[in-house]
Amino acid sequence: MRIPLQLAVIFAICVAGEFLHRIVGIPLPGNIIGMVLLLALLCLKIIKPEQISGVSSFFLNHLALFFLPPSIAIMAVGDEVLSKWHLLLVLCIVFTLATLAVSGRCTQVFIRKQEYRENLALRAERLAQRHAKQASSSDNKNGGRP
Amino acid sequence: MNEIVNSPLFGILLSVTAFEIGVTISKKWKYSFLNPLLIANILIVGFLLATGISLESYNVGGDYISVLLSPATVVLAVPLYRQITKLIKFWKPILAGIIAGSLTSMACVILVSKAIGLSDTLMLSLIPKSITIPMGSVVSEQIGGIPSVTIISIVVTGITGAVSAPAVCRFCRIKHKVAQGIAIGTASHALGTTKAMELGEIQGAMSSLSIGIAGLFTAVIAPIIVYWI
Repeated sequence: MRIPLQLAVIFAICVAGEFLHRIVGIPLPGNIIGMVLLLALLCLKIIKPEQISGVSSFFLNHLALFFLPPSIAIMAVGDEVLSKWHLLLVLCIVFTLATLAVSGRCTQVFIRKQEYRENLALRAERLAQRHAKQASSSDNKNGGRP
Repeated sequence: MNEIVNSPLFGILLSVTAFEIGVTISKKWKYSFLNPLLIANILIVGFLLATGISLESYNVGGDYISVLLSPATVVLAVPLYRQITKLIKFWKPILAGIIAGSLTSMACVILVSKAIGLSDTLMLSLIPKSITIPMGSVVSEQIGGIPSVTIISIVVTGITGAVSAPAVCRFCRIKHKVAQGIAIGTASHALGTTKAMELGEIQGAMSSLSIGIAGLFTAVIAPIIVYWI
């Protein structure tokens, strides 16, 4: 697809997301609804990833740029925050580290458990197959004789 | 001069230039605390303070870039789609990790705020700090916080996540790529996802997935917790 058409598709999805949020009343921000919509369109093969690769790779490669203007709002904080800014900064940093650690460890523990179970199941299956093969070959030996 | 400063082009030029300087510096010296967004933020705030140009003037142009946050979030579906088999395979651990992370974030804020006697308004503003800006500001308003404080805490959280994620993963021996992505997305939303994308496609996809789920979970749970305490 040509770039303007790709942009049209992406912005149409954004508008649809906003519509579903504001008019239909889904309690999620429009852009998150848009993300789900695009995922659905990709899964249903209505859009192929290559068709929007020009626009999608532009946004994905420069994602942080779009957060820059909202982050400048830091200039407009009130006095209460200003007087405690170092405390709040330390808290934000510590809490983020804790969240990262808990979330990551928790996911990993559950993944390892699942992989372990799957490995066990796989091994049991192979063992069962081997037994079945041995059993059937010994059956054949006996069964071959009159 | 005022006409120039108040034209949208000024804010756009300032943002793009500061961002490029940030990217160049962070590429040259590969320390993770030299985050491009952090550098650009300091440059712009410094520039505005030094010249006395108001935040409103900057935002005339800045808002044009903020609007593009929406399509930028939408296209996060593309890496997610490429990793959809991993998502389906590990949906239980993924959900568990995101819920554990979101609860940790909220519990930390509430417990520590109570312990050190932070004002209720500040505490409520900090509760949705791990979720993405459009969701966080809405949740903050809903539970009685100050949205602008929430936005700042969200940005600080995001930059912290982007900067510290590789070190935390190493320190806590979080080696599985899916777990790394979930941790980054849950703790530090789309801003951390920029770092997850650099780490790899799987991390990026899992991180973008966590933004939505962590945001949704927090949006539903935060009002209940606040009502409860």
